[in-house]
Amino acid sequence: MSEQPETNEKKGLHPENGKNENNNLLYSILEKGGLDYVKKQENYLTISAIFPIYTIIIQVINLIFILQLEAMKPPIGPNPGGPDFFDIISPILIFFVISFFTLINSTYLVKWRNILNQYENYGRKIRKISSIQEESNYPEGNVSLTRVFYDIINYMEIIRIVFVILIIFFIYNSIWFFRFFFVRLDQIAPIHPPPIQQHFTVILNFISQISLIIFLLFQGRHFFRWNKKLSELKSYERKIYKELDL
Amino acid sequence: MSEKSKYRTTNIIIQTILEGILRTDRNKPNQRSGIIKSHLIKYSSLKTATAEKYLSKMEKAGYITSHEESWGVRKINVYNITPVGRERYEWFVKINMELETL
Repeated sequence: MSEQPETNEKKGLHPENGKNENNNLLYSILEKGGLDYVKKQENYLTISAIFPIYTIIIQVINLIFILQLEAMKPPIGPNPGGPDFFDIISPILIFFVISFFTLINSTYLVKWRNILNQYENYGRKIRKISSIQEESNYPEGNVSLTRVFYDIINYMEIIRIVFVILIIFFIYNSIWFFRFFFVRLDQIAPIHPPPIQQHFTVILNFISQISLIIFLLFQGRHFFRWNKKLSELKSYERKIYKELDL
Repeated sequence: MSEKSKYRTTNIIIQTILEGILRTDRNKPNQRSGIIKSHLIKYSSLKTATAEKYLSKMEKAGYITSHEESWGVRKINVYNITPVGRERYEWFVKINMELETL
């Protein structure tokens, strides 16, 4: 029978338990804080994905309403009326832009949940490695908290650019809303007094405008803090690079 | 590679290595501290040459220390984190968590 090498573990020697406990405590605190932070980012992502769905539904309602007006316009006459190209294309454009934003957020939400599951599974695997004898069983593939943080950072760097485009479309949406419902509608709506459906559409759009303002303020505050953090992170990365003399 | 990418790539590797040591210590509270080199390289998912370059730089910068231990007839390198290394990892996590104190 071959002899197993006698390790310090078997000899019962644990020379650095004090240091080990400090590292143990530090990582546990950091990991808890880190995972709580990731959960907060997931909540942010969920709000960013769900909130615009209302606006998407409104654009579908607007498009149906406008197409009905188009169908009901008188075929001939001095003022043929009916919605113009701008009236019809605007809800379609806004629908696609907001859907795209929602899709990006939903995709990242699913991705982060997978990464977090992988992180927890990987943690379970390495917890089972208790001795050097199991060296060859050390699991491949790293899912570290560092990687999770940087995934979030990379996402935020992309989404803040998309957000600027979104602001432009929200402004466009507001201009269209006021132009269509307060200027154009009286000119092109064939029925007087207006039907209940028209009032309903105006009210829904009005609520949508208010909710968009709230959403923009929420995102604006979020990105203001993120920009500050990204700038700190960049300084920190530069410092580390210089310290290592790479 | 742009400066920004260089700094970012470096920091990802450094923080992952520091995290690998801390995480391993957390999983073995009653055993020796530190992680053997091959485990650390696997944890970091780096090529050996790249890992050795960073480990050497980190040791020189005072983030980590290494020592040799015997395991039967074999010699193994074990890496530990220093207070400077712990501080660097802590700062990184703090920046991400946006907390003033932990």
